[in-house]
Amino acid sequence: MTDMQQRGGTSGEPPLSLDVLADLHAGVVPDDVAARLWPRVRADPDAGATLAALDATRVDLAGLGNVPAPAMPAQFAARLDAAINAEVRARAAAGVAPVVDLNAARDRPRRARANRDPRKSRRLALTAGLVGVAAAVIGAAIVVLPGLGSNPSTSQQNAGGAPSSQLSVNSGQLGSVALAQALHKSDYGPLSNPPQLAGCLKANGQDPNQKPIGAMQINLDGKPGTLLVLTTGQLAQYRLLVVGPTCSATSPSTLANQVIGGIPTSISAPTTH
Amino acid sequence: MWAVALRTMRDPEEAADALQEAFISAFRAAASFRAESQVTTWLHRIVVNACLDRIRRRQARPTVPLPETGPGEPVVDRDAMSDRETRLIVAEALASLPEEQRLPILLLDVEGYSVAEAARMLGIAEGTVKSRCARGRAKLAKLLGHLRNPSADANVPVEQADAARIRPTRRGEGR
Repeated sequence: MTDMQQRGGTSGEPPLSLDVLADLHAGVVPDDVAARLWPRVRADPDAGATLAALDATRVDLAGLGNVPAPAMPAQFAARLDAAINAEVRARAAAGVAPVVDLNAARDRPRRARANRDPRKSRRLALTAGLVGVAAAVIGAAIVVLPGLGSNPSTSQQNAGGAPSSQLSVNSGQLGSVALAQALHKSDYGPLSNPPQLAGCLKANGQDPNQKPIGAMQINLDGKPGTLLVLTTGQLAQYRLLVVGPTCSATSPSTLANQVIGGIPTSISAPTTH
Repeated sequence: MWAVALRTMRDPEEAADALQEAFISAFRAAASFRAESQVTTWLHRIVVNACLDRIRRRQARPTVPLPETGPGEPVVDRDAMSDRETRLIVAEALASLPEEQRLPILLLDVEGYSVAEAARMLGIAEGTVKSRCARGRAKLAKLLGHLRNPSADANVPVEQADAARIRPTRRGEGR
């Protein structure tokens, strides 16, 4: 039991309770009251220890925000997938903020984009960006864009967190399916050797020192390869680089190299792309 | 965002529903997005708000309240814990708080919102956010074993005298 007399210091005042100290710590106590309390806190080692305990509690809580995202259960991912899909289709049918294939949007000449009505362009751009972000941040729900197509079974497979064997995708699916599957995976396969990976990135014109934010083994249009998801420096925009097993400093062995997602220049910071 | 929804709602089914509402409302609110903020920040706020909306609706229905953790709750022996265990225990301790304390602490200490932002999101005064955080953190400090002598600090008789001395000037409420 704490010695109450001792905790009260020499003034004979009662010790400060946990509640009062917690109020002081949280800034609840008005300045004039706090000014009277602080000398008592400083004179009372137990009070100081209590404030340190409250600090440690906040550190513990902050740690919760850094916990890696758990896999979203398959049934919820599928439900979310379906709901977003329905919303996208409904909006497309209603002619509101039409949703387009990201790759098609990206391939569209920039002049045509610049001439578009800015408000409509902004909505379209954000919707496309949002789809990209949604796919990226959920990492489980696969957002299906009309006309792009995806295989529902891959959604289930990914959402359950089951180890994937080589995922077969075609070039058109790479943007939506592979991104949702590959993020946060670290299956480098033949490129597991860091120097070889660095050489391979350099041979493909990428920064050899960067760490991909996702890597997985896939079968692209019938060819085995490693899909590397790279950041581009642009918000919600990723480079999908697929290389063959022989990729090295002297052989780029490029199977695919495309940029997806992102908030187009109409609403984002100036870009050099 | 799944992690955000899960730690806010606690129940996976509810988290999935909230996330679904969040993304649908994000689609519908796309035009309100301001380019100067990060998309992920904007989306994070939408997800948290969707969760808070669901919690408010849930609270509007009569429910059996979660039992408050009593002072006799065993505290944690922190020495033998791995980081993962620590996080699990911290998450469980946070989940044991009453919602009125858990949500402000979640917004401030876990998600990193300011007092002003949390007050707006929760629809309560800033002083109330602070005092609810104070109450909740005091309980967590005991539950997580940070206090050297939690029984001595818990429910001490002088608390009432101290509280009475401070209450006239305390803004908001916290009990």
